[in-house]
Amino acid sequence: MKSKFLLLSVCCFILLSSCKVTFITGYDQVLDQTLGKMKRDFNLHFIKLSRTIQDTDPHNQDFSNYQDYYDNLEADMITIKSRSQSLDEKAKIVKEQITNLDAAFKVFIQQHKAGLPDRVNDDRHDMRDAINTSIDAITRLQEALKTTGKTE
Amino acid sequence: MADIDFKQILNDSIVFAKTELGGTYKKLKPFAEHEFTQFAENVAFLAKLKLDGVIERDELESRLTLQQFAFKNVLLTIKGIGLVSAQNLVNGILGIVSKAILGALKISLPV
Repeated sequence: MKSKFLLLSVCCFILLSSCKVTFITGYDQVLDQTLGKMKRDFNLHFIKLSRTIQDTDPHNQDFSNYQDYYDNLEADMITIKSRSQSLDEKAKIVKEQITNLDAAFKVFIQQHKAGLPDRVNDDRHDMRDAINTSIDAITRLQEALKTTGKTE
Repeated sequence: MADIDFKQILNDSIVFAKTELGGTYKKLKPFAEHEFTQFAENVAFLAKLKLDGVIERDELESRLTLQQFAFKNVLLTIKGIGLVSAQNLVNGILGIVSKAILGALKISLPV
């Protein structure tokens, strides 16, 4: 009886010490760093853009004046999309977040292409907030995934 | 051979769960509050612009879509951090139980 219990306990121990559950993955250093760069670039872009949408010049905010920024943005989006594609199936949430960020940037670009007329009472801070929040949310999850397994 | 102290395992597991879940709640609460408030304020701002005739319906819809994508990412982060926390909790408790069994059996396995 005692030897049966001992055997069972040893089996339990081996089982427990060897198994580690994983519900979610998705941390990627390149993804994390690129997001940081994208956030900085976007805010710099928005600071420059916001100066032009509240003045009296109707053309200084034209999309063509900001083509360089959007080209860089596209290159960064290609980087993070390809990084997210290489993540495993337990990184579904991170992949979905990258898809949402891509879609958000597309709406932002579409809005800029459609024109951003000068308005004194509309600084478009909602657009800035939305992009920043989309990036911050991913970064926050990346931080949590980076420290998985550690207890604070 | 010593007995396995199930009461101790339970106590250690409860303390661990409180620390893990409490830490997650502390981290998530200010984040969620800030993002939910900002979302509500931005939607109210856009509604006012539309009411005042500053923007048309197309622009309102487009800018609201941006808010929706941002909010989706916030909700996904909350869900993801919840999963990370559950993962840490399960693995931590597995660690406590295996440590207790090891202590009771006085064996050292080459792990």
